[in-house]
Amino acid sequence: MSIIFRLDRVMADRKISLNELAKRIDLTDSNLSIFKTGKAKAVRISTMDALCRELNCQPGDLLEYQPDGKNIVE
Amino acid sequence: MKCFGENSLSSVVGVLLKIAWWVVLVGSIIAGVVFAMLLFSKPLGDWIADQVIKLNATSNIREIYNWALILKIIALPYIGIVVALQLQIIKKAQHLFANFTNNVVFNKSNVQITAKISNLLIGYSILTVNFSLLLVSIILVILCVIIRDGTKLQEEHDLTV
Repeated sequence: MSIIFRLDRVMADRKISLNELAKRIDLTDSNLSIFKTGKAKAVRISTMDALCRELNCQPGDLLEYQPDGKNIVE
Repeated sequence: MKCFGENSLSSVVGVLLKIAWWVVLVGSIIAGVVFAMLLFSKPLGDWIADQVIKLNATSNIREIYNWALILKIIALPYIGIVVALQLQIIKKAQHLFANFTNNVVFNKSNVQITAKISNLLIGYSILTVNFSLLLVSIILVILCVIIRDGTKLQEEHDLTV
């Protein structure tokens, strides 16, 4: 897969911690960490919806496709 | 009764397998010694044969004396291999049910254990010419594929956010 996870960058822009975001979107810290570190195999639409709502961003801001690359975390 | 976890069917089977392992081990050692005496020691073999005939008058145990030497030599290693396979199968099944008792069902180690048990069972059923056991081992191979696919699904579920 060549999906880059940009959650780290968006969180830094919004100055929000992982714990705080996890609380706001009603997700466990470990699950959000899985998303943040790019280990996730699937993302629920409801999770994406909550993330976009809380971070005031688009799904494309959180995920990016890059040809011939592995799952990259930024 | 629940199937997995503490105080479940799996824990009961686990305990039974532990007992079975020791019973097979001790039984096979005793049987091996008795069989070796029957094959290679005429005085001791006669005494054992007399005891068996006392218990079961129709027993034709003395026919063992008429076996060809090569058959006598092959018999002991054959029994040894069969017993070793039995013990290995029981030991692997113990590990599998220990995992089930710990609520570990769809796991890579369970896939490996099931694959090993099915391979051992195929060998055992061929050696003992037991076709119903061969059928069971084939079902176990299919079960192994099911557990492998279940493990993939479990992993996907765990990594879905």
